[in-house]
Amino acid sequence: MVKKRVDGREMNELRPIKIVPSVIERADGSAYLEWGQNKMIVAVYGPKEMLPKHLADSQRGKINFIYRMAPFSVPERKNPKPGRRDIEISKVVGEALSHAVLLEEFPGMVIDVYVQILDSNAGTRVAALTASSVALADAGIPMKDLVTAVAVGKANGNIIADLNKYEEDAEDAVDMAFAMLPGSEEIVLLQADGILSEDEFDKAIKIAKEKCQEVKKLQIEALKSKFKALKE
Amino acid sequence: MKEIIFPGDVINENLKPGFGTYKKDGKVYSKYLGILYKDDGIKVIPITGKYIPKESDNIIGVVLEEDNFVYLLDINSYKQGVLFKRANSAKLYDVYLMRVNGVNEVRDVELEVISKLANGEAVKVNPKKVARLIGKNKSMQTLIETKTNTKIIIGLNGIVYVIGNNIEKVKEIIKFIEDYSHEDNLTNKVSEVLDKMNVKK
Repeated sequence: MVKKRVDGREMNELRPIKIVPSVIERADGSAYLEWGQNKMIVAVYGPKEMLPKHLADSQRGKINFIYRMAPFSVPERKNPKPGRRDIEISKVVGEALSHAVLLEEFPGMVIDVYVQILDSNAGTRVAALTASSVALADAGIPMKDLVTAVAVGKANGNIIADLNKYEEDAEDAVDMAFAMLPGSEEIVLLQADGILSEDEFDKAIKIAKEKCQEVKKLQIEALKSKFKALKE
Repeated sequence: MKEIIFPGDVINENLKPGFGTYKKDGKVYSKYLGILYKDDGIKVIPITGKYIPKESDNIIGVVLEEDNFVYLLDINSYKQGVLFKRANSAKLYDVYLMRVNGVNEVRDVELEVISKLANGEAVKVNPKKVARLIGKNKSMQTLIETKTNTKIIIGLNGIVYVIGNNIEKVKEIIKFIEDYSHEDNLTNKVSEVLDKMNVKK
């Protein structure tokens, strides 16, 4: 009998993912994403002139990534004031994206990326990264590659992909957020807590790379739906 | 059917890489989500995006703001267009046909007014689809103009000025072109749709 996880998934099975591009009419690009129980909306505005001007970099553009959780996205009300966690995620995810976007084409300009988490159940930062890279492509912004992200880790002695909240709270839990450019396998985000042995770490990275390719296929599928086919 | 391409896709063609591509380690990749064209070289036309100002383009702008010295115009680009008050006198929401006389490294544009447009309506179009709206040797533009009996002035920045009685019909057909610009034989298909619309002249 094969051991299964709390929610009946295989050890390295992802939760169901649904991506819909272009959901916000006024934004230059946008996307809606459901990743298991996680739900979020991403809107991209720009590139546009950076104001105030002293923040602008005259050599390359900047990404202003804003990650916010809705007060109702967690069981106990979250204070809508951006906390330590929101600010951290905004920073690391924005930096991960700036490795993919060709920012040198936009000197002195800024691209605003807003992510609003509507519902959360572990792994929102990787989900936000996946969704915002779809939204950036939707906005027609030049990129080296799409960014795909997935969480891997350890719970109850097993190395698993895409942890949910129960697994994240296990006693020996390790949660590792991982993001890469799928074409060149360049890693753009790697954060972890908990303790992994060297072998376990290598195994986790291997699973993460495989799963990222899976996520990329879903991103491509979603972006394809932008091109309407003319019915005869 | 033209080929749809995604950012980071490898392009395996022995043609000269052009707009919308980048080179890395001897391979050519796409920068944009868009459509791949292989004529005498490779180019990727993105699905959407803002107007990239280029010298000697004819563009259309709408006056949106003014201060003591300048008028600020919406030109569908990264930055607003600027007209100096000492050289021009305009009112808010005036529409101008202009020429881009120069673009600098940070994409500020230098504009020269060709004429003021009146008695029509300015319509925004996806700047990346303007080429399809004009067509080869203006074929698409002429087709729409004759079948709807309107006059269309196209700014390369994606603002189109329509003069005539059938402005709503023109808007509809522009939407159609934007949605299906990746189809082959677009001019014929647009012609069919225009016939179905039954436009009164």
